Amino acid sequence: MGSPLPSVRLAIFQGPLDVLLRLIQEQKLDITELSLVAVTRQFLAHAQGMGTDDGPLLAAFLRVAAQLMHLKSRALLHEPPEPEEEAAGLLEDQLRGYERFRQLMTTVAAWQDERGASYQRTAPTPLPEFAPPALVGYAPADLVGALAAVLEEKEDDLPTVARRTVHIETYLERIDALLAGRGRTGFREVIEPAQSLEEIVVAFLAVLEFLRLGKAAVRQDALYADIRILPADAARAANSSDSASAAPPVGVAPAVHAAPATDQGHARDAFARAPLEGG
Amino acid sequence: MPLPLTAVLEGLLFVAERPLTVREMAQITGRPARDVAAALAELKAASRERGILLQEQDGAFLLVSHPDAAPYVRALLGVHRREKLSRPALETLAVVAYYQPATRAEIERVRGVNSDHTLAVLLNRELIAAGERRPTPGRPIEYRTTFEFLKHFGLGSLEDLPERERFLAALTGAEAERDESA
Repeated sequence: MGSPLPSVRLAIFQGPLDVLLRLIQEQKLDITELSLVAVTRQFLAHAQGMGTDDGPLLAAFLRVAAQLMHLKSRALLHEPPEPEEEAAGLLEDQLRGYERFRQLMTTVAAWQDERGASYQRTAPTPLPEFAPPALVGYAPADLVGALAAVLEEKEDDLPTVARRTVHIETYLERIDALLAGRGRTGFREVIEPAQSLEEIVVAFLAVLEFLRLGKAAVRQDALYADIRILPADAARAANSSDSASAAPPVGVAPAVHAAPATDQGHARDAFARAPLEGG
Repeated sequence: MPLPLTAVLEGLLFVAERPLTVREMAQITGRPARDVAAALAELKAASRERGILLQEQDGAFLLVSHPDAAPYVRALLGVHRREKLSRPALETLAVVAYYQPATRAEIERVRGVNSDHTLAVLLNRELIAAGERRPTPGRPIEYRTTFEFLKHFGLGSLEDLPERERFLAALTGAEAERDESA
């Protein structure tokens, strides 16, 4: 029993039986009570070398260690006190069972590598049945008939949708008329007859055209407020009468930029006048 | 011409997203359970030559892809590699598979080591399921493998477990010891 201590690699062992089996195999012994006794010292050394962080595992090792100590103590006595074989037989048989199990585990491990898995079809959740009564009793041939009927229809029956065209002149005239009538107007009033976004854009272009020609001035008091439109001469009069606080003559750009500006003061100053032709 | 029962059952199993029991299929088809069972056996034999596998456990049936088609099905599903079980998990699973129903104590007796963690892992992955409590002292929970287990290993049923005889001999050997000690 003074056999040399084999080097024990801790990491690969999973439990006391695993360790015990390895120790016995390393000494090329069969699983007998005697060989269990022979490896008791190594097993105890292994148990002592274990960390104590895994309580249940340590307890399992200690239990086997106790069984081994019991076996060894009996082996050291010339006459065993009584033939209580169960402790020895139990450990021996358990080890034999484990040995068989380990051999078969090699099979299972390989089996996981070699065998392919099966996959289940993942059916979508069935939708509630929807079948209008009229659909019942139709055959695929009816579908073909329906398609033929559609194809037979005359193409020239189709109506054509006329595209409404908007001319900028329409809005130039409208602004002119509004200014002539009341002396002032607003963009909202200008676009009253507009029926599409495109038409509103044309109306806005008409306002810009008025500015370009110097025929009008525009003013917007706040973000999203109505754009007020005044005749150019009226605006000039208002400007000169209040020259102290009024902003210096500005062009089109500030008026257009007045919309995104949130600063009240800036919006107020953004009184736009058309650049005067020839000064 | 009415569709043969085998074909009807194949259609049902194809659409079902869960295992169907013989009783269910008998109810749906209006045929005796005996006929359904016979048709299923026929279907199982016929599917051997095809890309499908009829899995069976406890009187319930599930239609899955053939294990040999696994690489292609994985490519279709965009699954690169099958998740593999660790050695301890595989050991525990093997004991449950061959021994079932197995209690924690029985598993630990064979493995000789605490198996709480690996049991939790297997339960979590639904490879095993906790069943009823055994009417013995301590009323331990009995564990069984699931359809997920059959799918993981591409098995038709538990009877297809490899080297079943050898494993059972090894495990019942352990059981004999326990009976002696009791």
